[in-house]
Amino acid sequence: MRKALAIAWKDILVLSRDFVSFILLLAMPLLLILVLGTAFGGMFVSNAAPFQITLAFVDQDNGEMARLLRDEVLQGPDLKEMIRLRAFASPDEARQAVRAGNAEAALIVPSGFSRAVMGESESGLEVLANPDSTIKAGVIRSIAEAFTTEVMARGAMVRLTLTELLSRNLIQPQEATATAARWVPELQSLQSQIKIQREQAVTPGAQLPGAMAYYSISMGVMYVLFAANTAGGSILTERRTRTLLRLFSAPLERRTVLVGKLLGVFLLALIQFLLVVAFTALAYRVSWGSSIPGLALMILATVFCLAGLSALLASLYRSESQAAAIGPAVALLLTFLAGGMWVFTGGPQWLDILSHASPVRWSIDGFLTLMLGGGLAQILLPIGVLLGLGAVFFGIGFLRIRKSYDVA
Amino acid sequence: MSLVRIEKLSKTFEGGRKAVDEVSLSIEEGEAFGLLGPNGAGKTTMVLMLSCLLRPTRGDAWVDGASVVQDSLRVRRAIGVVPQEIALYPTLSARENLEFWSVMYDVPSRQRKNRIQELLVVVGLADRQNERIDRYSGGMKRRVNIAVGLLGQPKLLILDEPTVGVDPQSRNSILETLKELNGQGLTLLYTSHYMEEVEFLCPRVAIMDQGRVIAHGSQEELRLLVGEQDVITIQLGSVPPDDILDKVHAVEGVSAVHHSEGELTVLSNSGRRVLPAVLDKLFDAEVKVRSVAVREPNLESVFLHLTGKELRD
Repeated sequence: MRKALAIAWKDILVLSRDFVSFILLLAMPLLLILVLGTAFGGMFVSNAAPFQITLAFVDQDNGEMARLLRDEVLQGPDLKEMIRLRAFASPDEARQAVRAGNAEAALIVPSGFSRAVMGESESGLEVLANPDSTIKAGVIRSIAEAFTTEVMARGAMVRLTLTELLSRNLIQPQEATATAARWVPELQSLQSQIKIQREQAVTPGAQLPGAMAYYSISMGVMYVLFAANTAGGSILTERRTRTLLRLFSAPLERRTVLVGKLLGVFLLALIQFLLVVAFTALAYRVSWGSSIPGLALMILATVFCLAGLSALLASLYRSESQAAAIGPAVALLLTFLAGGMWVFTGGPQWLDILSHASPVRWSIDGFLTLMLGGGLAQILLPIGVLLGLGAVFFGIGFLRIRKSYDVA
Repeated sequence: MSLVRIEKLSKTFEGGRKAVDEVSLSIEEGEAFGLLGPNGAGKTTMVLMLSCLLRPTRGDAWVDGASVVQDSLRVRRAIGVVPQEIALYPTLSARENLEFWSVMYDVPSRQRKNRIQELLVVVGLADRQNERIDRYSGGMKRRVNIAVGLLGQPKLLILDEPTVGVDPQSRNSILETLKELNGQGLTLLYTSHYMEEVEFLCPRVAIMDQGRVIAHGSQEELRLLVGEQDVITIQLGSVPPDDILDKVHAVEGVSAVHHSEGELTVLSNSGRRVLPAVLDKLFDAEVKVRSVAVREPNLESVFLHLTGKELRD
């Protein structure tokens, strides 16, 4: 192990002397994070600016349903922090507020809405949208539609039941009114729908911790692949410069040489990523979450997986020029596929499924979970996948390189 | 007792090319043994097999009693290898290179510093030990290359053309250093296609050609193979016609003739007697002659005598 460590350390030392490559490997991800984080900041909602909607609310109904919508739904526990409600006396005033930009949307509960819900006539909520706030207006529209659908359906059910009970003289008409008033507000399914609407509506930003943080993950991970590829390429360099043969003529096992080389790939990738994490935390104020064990394990799992991938790729290369051309291309492809260049959220589901074929996606998912307050328990899946993939990659790479060493 | 024993060592590569064909040799402890031959003679393949880097197709070799086939780790503990290439890390300094290789060669950590310093003095680089290798001259790199081979205090130092591409001054320095090390008891196996180097360093020599040892013994024994023949070297000032070799060979008393790179080499029992007739043939063919030299036989003439070729062909 002493010799393997010496080989690994030597590889890091050799790469550190390649000043241009070393600076590029360290400086480029930090620069890219800054550029992408700044350029695409608008697509994200940062921690400093939580997703909020100012809603102009007009209650022309003054009935139970309007109260329910205002107090239990829009200002209920799920939406209270997201929706800032401003009451207006008339639709015109609300429209004026939306036009003036004082509200992103207006929701008008028309007169007779409560009666209509319980009766058989049709009625609906009216939503006015500010064209500059389509996403936020869309959220309100979705909530309004979900509420209307739910209360109409529930109203119809209650109506049917009461009609049946009344026809059999099992209850008196005054009891029916009281029952209806009790049943309708129990809008449990509406609450769950509202939750889904909220989560879908606030994307892509609300589930992301900010552009700078997002690109700190994706660019950091991509450059781990670059660094590991560079270190993996040194396996080929040693073959060309005949230092590999010299190592083989020294009194050590060939597998020790291989373990040392792979250890070098792992350590360089680890150093690279730790520097990205440390620098982005200090310079860009990126929060990598509060779970230190979670972060440590995610870093180790990510580096293990991507270093393994680089070892596998190194075993496939025939020359250093192949390593220089193919490695970065694979890194870019996997990062792109994982949504590391820009966020796929809101895109087709098949793309989301496909993106999980990239180990970078599992890394991004794990780090995002930590950044959004998750702990070790929430990242066990990405950690497991990354460690599993890494073991497979390292295993195949080790066997292939060892085979090539046998004929060296 | 022989430190190295080689028995019917053979290597056939894919495609059936025989690089080494049933070579048997022995090298005594403390001697400097030369392996001389042109490029492609099989010297490097021999070195690779003795360094346990290439498995023989047939035969075996033993270094300090250990088989290169069956006990390669023991063999590798007994040898130091100086490859033809500069097998070093160019962005590291000489000291850093030696520190790394000293771990590979199991130099105990307590002795490491002194051992490295000693070797840097031996190869004359103590004052520039902290400079990166890629800023060294070719000769300096070669000297570090040799120092690495010496790190493990080997019983046998195998050197494969260690002076390729080195200026004459550095070459002399390297050869002097090796002679001194050999004088201190280190056994050397030295391969080269430079006859002068082998003549200077190695009392015993094996001459290889096309994978086979065509002659071996002391330098005196090898010269006797040529007999009392003189070597006439004629520098030509113009390109000779194709049939000039046949015409010169037809001169009475000429035993062998060879032309390479504007130089005609003639072997004869009496150089001075045949020289006028040889020059007549050249003048008749209107070949310009720039210089003529007649000298005693050497390993070059032995090789020419045995193969009809020059070492540098």
